[in-house]
Amino acid sequence: MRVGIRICGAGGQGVISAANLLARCAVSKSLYAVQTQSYGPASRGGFSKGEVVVSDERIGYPFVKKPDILVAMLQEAYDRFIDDVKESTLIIIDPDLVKGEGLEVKAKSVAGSIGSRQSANIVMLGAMAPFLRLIEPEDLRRSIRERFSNEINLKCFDAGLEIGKKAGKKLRTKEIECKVEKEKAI
Amino acid sequence: MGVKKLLMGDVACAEGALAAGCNFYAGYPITPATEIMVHMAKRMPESDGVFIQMEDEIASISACIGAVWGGARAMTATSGPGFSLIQEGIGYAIMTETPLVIVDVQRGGPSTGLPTQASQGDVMQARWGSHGDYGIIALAPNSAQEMYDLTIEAFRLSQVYRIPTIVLGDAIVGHTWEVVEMKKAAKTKVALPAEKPLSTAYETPFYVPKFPAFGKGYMVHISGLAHSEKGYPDTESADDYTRLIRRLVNKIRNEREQICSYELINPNAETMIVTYGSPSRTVYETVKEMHDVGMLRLKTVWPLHERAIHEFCREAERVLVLEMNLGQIYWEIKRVLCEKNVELFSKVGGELPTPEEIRGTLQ
Repeated sequence: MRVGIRICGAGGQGVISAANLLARCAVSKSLYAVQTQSYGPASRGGFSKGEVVVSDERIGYPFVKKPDILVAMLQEAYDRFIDDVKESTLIIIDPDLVKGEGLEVKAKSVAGSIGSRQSANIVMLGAMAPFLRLIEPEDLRRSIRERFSNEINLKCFDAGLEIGKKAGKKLRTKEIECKVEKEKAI
Repeated sequence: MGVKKLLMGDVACAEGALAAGCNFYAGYPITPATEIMVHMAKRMPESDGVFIQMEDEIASISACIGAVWGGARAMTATSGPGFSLIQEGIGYAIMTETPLVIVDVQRGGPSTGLPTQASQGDVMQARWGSHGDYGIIALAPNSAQEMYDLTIEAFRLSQVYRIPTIVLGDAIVGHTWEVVEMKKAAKTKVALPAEKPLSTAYETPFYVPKFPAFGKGYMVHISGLAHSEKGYPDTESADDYTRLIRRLVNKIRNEREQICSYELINPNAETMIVTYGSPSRTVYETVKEMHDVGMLRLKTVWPLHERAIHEFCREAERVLVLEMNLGQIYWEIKRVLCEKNVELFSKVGGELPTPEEIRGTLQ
């Protein structure tokens, strides 16, 4: 089984570190993982993209062509990638930053109310956690605990997870139950 | 079993060098190889090694050659423009039979080209970039794991054959994070020559002389000029020169079976794809569940493993060479399989060929 996740937004929002955290988590579970990134010359602002492929077998092609999960935290990112999605793609957007269709997670404002607006990426990780299939929410929570010493990120993760779980109940019966279409997965 | 870690390909390369006993790094930063240097800057002082940021790449390779003659195991890493500058030093290392490792994390060229995008445009430069006749070894990793493993192997080969060995990565393998099992490397023992260098010819035409320890035992003379077995410049005798150059070429050419390695899926399938480095990732993805298509992936690009190419492709009806340049290794494969129709699949611009593109070509 191969799961492709693309997280995109502006430089400084932590989209690459979110992708890296997912890869770390996969590795800790003895899964295969490949994490790639692309970003502009500026370290803050500008377009930025992190991708992870998680699989239970050796990964050939390392990039995500048609994501199973697409997270967009910047309008430009949403516009650029919305045509890449397949029917089963779970799209997650922050409605305060992006106008479009998808599961709405107010990551920036949720993180801000917990005490760290920079942790919006972690809220997003929480929201996608119920849909990762090869990775359990508890695994990801543990990886975040290992990576960060503060409690704020765990709180952000839990807040995101709640939103994801609620959405999951609604969506479970429908197409968003990210079904692997083997050929299209790549 | 070694420790498993999630590492960026460039960092895996630096860790592989350390595992192989590298204790000297001189370099100049350049995208997409900089992370190797940054990691070495951190790790060298921790392991009592030497790290120097040089003024340019010519100085970097010169410092490495000097360090090796001072008893160190040295490496430098660069990309396109720096690799061009390093060529002069490669020639000197070939002529003086200096074992060292050069990493070229390829990006789009010529000149400053596409700094952040991958390419395989330096393959022929790796073979023939310096002047004169010589043999060379170049390895092409296709994952972070191989950036680790093949860097270790590059150190081993460079010491066994007393030759600069090139690791030909690219921006994709260099910047991708993957699981790396950090296996311990078997340390190559460097045997010192028991006696003074010979005054007569070596026993075999592809003899590799042992590496003397500078400052120990006896005086050593090192020269980029043509030299006899004694090490002194000898620019008058055509015989001595012929013997030297034939040996520098043959010590690699005659050892291809020992040096070369490859990965093989469905040998002699109806269609065979010959590839190396990053694009092989897409070929693997496409071919793994097909029976009528096979892959020969060259882990060793130089010397070219002509026997393997011939043996595993000779029954194929169709041979396809996939590389991220406009045709470099392609002409070599065409030469080896001269009786066959060999097709080229090129992609440049930095992006890996996709499985769809390969399937499209196969139909």
